[in-house]
Amino acid sequence: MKQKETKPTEYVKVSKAWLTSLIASQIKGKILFPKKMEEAKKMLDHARFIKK
Amino acid sequence: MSSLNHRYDITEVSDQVSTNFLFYSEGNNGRVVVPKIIQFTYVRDYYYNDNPIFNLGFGDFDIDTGSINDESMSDNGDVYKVFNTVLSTIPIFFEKYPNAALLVRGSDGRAEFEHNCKQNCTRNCIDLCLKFNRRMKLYCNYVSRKYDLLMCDYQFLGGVSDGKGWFDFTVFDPGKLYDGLIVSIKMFKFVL
Repeated sequence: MKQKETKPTEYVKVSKAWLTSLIASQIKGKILFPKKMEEAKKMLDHARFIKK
Repeated sequence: MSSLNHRYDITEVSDQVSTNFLFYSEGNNGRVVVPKIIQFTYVRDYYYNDNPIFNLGFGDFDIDTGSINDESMSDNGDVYKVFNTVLSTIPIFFEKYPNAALLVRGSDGRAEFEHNCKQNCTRNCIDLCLKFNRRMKLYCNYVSRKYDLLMCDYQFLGGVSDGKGWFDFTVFDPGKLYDGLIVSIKMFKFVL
């Protein structure tokens, strides 16, 4: 019986500098934590600053 | 915070929307490299003096989707090195925005985090989730331990939920666990 050939996952080695520029282009102008921002806004809108 | 050693090298990748820092967690064995991002984003002004308040966001970056997972636990065995790296960006942020304040919260303090964590629990937690609110515990413990030193340059306010939707912020009390922290440099401290 012929065995099914499975292609191994191919990996490409890239430099950190290249990866950094790729990530920089991916995150440019983006708010990465929209949920956290929403929660932060809510928290600050409902914040009471108390002097003890 | 600027004197922190045992941390990763950071690269600033800021734009008009936010101040971002990128680093790579290499873990203990150096095999799994996880890109991590720290993002400082403007939220609103403080009502008393109009000084801007920013949010500190931190999480693993997924190159395939171009998004962040701020609840992920990469468990790369380098939690303190990662933590030190996050802290090391705070003085750089304040150099850029000296009159700003920073809101710090842990994304693992949400109710849904505890729910999701319990679904895939690896620690055999019975009642209390051991991973719940771990980041805030880490931040609060750090500030408590270094309080005398840190208060020379910074002001820390701790916020606690009253359970009715309000958050009461007071001057940080070492040893106490808070739901959120507000950090500012002393020169531009909050007036309570």
